[in-house]
Amino acid sequence: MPTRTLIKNNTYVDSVSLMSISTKAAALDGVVNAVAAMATPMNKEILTNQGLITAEIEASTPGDLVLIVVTDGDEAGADAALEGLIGLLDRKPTGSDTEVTYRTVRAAAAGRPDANVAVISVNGAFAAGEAHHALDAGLNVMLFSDNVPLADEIALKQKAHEAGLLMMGPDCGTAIINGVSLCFANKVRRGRIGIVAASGTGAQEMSVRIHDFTGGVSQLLGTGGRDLSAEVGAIMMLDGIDALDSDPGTDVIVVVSKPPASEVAEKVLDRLAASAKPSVVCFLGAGPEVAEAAKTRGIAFFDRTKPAALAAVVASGVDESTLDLHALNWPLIEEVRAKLTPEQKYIRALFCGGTLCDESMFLALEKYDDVYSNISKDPAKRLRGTDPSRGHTFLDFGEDEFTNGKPHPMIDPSNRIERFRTEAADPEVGVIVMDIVLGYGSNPDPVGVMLPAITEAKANAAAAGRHLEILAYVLGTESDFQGFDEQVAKLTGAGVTWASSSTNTGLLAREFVYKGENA
Amino acid sequence: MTTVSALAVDAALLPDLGGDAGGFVGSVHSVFTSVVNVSAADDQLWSLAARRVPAGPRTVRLAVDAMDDLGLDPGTPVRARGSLLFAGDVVVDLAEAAPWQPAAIPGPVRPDRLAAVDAALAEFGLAGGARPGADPFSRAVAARIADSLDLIADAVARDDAVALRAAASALIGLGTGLTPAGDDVLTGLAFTAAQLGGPLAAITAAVAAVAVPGTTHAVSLTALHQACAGRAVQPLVDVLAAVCGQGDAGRLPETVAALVAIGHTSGTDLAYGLLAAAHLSQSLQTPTK
Repeated sequence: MPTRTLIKNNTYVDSVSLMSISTKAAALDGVVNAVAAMATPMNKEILTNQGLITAEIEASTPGDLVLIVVTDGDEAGADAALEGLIGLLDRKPTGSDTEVTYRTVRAAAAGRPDANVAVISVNGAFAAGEAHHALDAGLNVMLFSDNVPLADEIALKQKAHEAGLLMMGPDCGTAIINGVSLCFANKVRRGRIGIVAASGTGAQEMSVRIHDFTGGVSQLLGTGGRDLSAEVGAIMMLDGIDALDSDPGTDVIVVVSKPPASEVAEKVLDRLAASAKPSVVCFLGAGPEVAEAAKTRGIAFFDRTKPAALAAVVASGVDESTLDLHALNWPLIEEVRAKLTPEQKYIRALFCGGTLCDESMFLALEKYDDVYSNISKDPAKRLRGTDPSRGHTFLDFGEDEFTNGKPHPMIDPSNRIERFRTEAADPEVGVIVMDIVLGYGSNPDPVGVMLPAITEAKANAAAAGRHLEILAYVLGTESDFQGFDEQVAKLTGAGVTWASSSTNTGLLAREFVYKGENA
Repeated sequence: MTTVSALAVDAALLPDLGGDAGGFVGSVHSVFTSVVNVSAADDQLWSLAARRVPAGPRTVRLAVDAMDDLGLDPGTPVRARGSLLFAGDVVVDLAEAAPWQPAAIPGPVRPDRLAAVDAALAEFGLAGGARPGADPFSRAVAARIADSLDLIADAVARDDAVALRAAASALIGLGTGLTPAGDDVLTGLAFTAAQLGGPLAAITAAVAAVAVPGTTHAVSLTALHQACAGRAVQPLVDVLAAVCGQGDAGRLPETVAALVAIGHTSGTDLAYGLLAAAHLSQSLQTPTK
């Protein structure tokens, strides 16, 4: 593979900056590996073992900084990657006269008395303290950090509740407040449907489906994934529903979550039933007892995102008969089944979004028993992220085991690309499933960074005489800055099948590999 | 001229800075956002640091928020006279600086505290150094660190000084970042060994023997030499003190998190070294059948 090396003599750059440079270099076009290390004898030995040593590196000393980019394109691409690397190294922090850096939340609150929301993303051990400072300063809080102790979460949410403030999170990745997107969110139409979500990509999927069905979003409030646990008791979910109930811009209330604790589900359903506004509940993977509890209260209940979004849009006044409902494409399913050999029987799903992974997994579980995942609630079906795949395997690359010390896979896809190559070489794989998440905060070209691996895998499978089916779901809108149509065009140009929603992704995947009598 | 006050200074550094007669003369070695390293004729570094940097060996903490806007560059002359340090256009006044002098940490290791620190590191520790990251280089580094720590434990148990030195030398200068992960692990290991003593003293001797110029750079070598003398940054001192039963057990997660916050993965790697030595100490304390 074309490789380029840059050596900076007697150069000391702090580790945090080096990590940032290394991560950004790995995301450059065509770069499959990037190294930033001091030229010590031990590092030279590792580089020798990995075939990356050069005479120039051999001649360098421990005070010299070595930067390497390994690419999978041609020599010109490697030169371009080197130029990009030099640019990263030379880049200085940018600022302007209107930008002010505050070193504490308290200082920021004092310096910006007109601000009413603090977005906090620091190490989980310190996050609660910063969130307390923000609440004490009268700010609503969006707490992006995870690894915050449960007791701290409860204390923060109780404090916010008593102060009439929103405490979104911890581990809250998505919100849209008065049309302003925070962290990971898509550019969706403004409208009259309010969402409270205990799952980040679940919230993104709901907002995007509502947009696709010509509806619009008034507010999208995140709660963090543990809010509907028995311990937290949906403090933020209930406050969020209260906020939407009293919001004159909201006509319909939508609630999205993974399965809540049953007694908490009852509280949420009771609160929705007390509102005069119509509501839609989407609890992925919830059992029939929760569905029944919703039904007895007259609340529309769904365990899939797409029909829930449709119900919300219809409740907001859209005529269903005018919509393209994206029915499941059975001719396509038959076509793919015909291409697969009897041995190609497994789904291997590699997701960035936890809720997207969950929805596809739950749909597979309706049809298969041998479903394994790093987010499975069943210990017997749980895999670690580094374990080899078993049966139908669903991996969430946004889990801590993958993100510890690395950016989220929606920004840095390197973990998923590596796993993709492994799965693509497995002759028992019938379909590889991936989500491509667009929107604020995500990779600027999420399909582009996957394309070299996709092209290579397709070519290898063809050389081995088998069809490699790749199914991708692009979560986004035509207004997202990455360009929805361009991203889809890149996928289809590479022979990838494109799904129109999270729900359809799960349904297509499980049907592609079905080998039953009616297949 | 800009005059800044020093908040704290390593008491052991003061003699090196000298007094009115024959004070320190050297130059700036490297400049970072929060730290300026200064080199002397003996290749040992000492540091001027911003207030948020934790206290540590050979460090002068200043009443400033950042160091990279003081106009200091590598090569800028530095000298000391009386209680004043002169570096370029900056004058540092040491007169009111509190002396930093951490107390020795009496062992032994407490098993319940050790388990709690293990759990806290599992929660807060970062991948990329001793904990494998995603890229091939990082995985190779983490695998070698794990293998070398096993070999070090085995060599200590067998009292094999030659094998111990070989295992330590496989770690020095190993890994990405400014201070390679292997150096940070060795620093945590050597500091803990120096504090706990007993059979672990062989580790300190081995690290001191392999930490020589040419194996890694001066920033790492200074930390390694200090660790062999039982001296390390305050968060590492705090974690070892907690492992040995001092302080409030309820504050352990914050204590570990403060260590993990050092550098990118340096804090995590220092903790790995500390825990490796602490587990070894515990196993050597435990009678076997």
